Amino acid sequence: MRFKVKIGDLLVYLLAAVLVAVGLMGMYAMGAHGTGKSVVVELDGKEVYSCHIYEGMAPVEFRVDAGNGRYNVVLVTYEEVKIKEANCPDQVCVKSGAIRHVGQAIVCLPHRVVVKIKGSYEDTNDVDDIAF
Amino acid sequence: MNKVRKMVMLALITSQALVLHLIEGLIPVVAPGIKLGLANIMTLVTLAFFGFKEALIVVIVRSVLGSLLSGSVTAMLYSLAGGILSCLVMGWLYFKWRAYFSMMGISTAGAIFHNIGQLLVASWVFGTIGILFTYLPVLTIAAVGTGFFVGLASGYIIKYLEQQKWFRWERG
Amino acid sequence: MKRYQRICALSIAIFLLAAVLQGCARATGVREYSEDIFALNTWVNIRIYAGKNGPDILDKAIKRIEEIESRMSVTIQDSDVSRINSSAGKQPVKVHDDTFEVIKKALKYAEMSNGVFDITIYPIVKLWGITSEHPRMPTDAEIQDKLKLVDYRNVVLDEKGKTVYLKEPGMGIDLGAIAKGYAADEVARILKEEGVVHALINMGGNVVAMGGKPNGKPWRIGIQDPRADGVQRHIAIIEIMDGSVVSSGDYERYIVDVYKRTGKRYHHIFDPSTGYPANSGLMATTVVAPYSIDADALSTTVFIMGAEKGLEIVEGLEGIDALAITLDKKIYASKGLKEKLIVTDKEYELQP
Repeated sequence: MRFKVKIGDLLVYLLAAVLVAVGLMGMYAMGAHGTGKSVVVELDGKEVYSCHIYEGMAPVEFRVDAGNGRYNVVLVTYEEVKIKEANCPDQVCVKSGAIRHVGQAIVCLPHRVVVKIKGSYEDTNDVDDIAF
Repeated sequence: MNKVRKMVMLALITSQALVLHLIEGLIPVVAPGIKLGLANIMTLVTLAFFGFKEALIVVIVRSVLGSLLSGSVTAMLYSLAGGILSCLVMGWLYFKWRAYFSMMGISTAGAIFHNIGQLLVASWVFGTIGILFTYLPVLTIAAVGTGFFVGLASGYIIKYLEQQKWFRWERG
Repeated sequence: MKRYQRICALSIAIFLLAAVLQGCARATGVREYSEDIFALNTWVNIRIYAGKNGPDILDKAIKRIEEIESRMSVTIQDSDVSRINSSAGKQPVKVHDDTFEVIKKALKYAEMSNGVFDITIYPIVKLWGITSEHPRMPTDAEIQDKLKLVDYRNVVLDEKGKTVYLKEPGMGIDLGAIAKGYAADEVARILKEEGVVHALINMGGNVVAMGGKPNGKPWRIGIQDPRADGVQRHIAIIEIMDGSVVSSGDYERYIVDVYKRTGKRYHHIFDPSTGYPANSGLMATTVVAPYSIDADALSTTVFIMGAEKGLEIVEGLEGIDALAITLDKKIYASKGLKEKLIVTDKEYELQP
């Protein structure tokens, strides 16, 4: 009888229940309670790197190669994202400091690099954008 | 069943799997990653009539061709990882523990491991294990639902084919 | 058994149908799409809330920005502006309708401000080269020489033939103080045409807000701290549903090595009456207006004019507000803005 529920099926459903629990526990442990935030790096409008942000994550540091020896070093931690170091002439990206909220971005104009935080819409009390 | 006949049958099944795979691509996803897994029907049918090795071939060919036709390299990676893992699990259950499982059970297990395979690849691509935990609950619940219906559907197809004189098979 | 099979088949069909319908429902769902590009010598970010066609809408907007850049940039060889400049003193140049409209608007502001806002400042801009890679301090004689070429009244427009003519050889125009605003307005227009309700556009500091946030609250636009030394930091917040917020200041671009040596900022906003960077006691201005092109032109105008005169002009314009930040960190705001402005930095003091 192909269609009759058998003892093994129960094991499958048990496994499913365990996996759901593991996932929920993992989410809870990471504090990823719906943050769903990720960092995206674009070079000249093209996405070259992305990584998720979750609580307890180890800080990630990586180098964006903008060609011709030009580079920006991006540091991602749970709290904030910043460009730690770059060899661009104006250093604006390094000086512009850290970003924390969805929609914020750091821009390196000379290297055409944009580092931004993406994610679902976040209602912060912070500003949505800056007129400069 | 002679060799040529078998090859023709497998080619037919593969192309049907491919069509189901592509049709599924047309159905917008409910949430990222949730799919019906219709192509799994053909994997189960192959398992039942031809054997494990043949099923694996069908899965691989379907994943590669399907991604070439509709997706990208990463899509192929996801598809292969999920497909192969799910085929391994379903093959193992089908040939070793068939007495204890219904088609729905086997198919559900396959769907669950399909997700696990894809999530492992996603974790590797995105460089974080977090994505695995975030999607696991939702995808697993979805797998229980889709797996049940896919199992039911394949059960009927297998039953129907078993009754057809033109479709003679040897169990692998 | 037969009946059981039928029920199963039916439920499979329903399940599939539900999945398809679910997909359609999702297709109409609105989500955020955002795109960053480098154009008009700056960074442009467009954030919209749209359905599945979001990427196509963004594409359309970006194509338009690129089109505007190809027509109005001074650095692109065959742009309308470059052709006007190279034909100065020789012959009128036929230009695209949008270039013509922008120049016309610029001349309107020139007249209104008695030449304080002047697009014919280009020879001076080129002389200092502050936005170029090699800025330098020109001599007074050089400045006086180039200053003779600066006069918006020597720009001749022909409405019928859509031609622009610069009377004196050597003259040049630079739409840098107004083109970004125009481009931002065009993006907003395209988004509206495509049915986008909520959007936020940042065109190198020129912000255009549309429809408030998706949750119905107004957009919160920060005013850049002019003394943050490049750090993105705001000193005040303006809340708006629709409209544009544009700032100008001495902090955006200036000769860095001279500043490091002497502490004096030779910045990129020139006073057409002197040929030197405007020195009106302000470090920044911000203008809030329904259209970005007005906000863009006026923020420059107010910056050159100074707090008192600049705000006086703005008070006379319907629906437009402005604030001016003096070198001693006092904020002067127009009547309409005084109650709306949220100052977040205690160092800056809003004047009653």
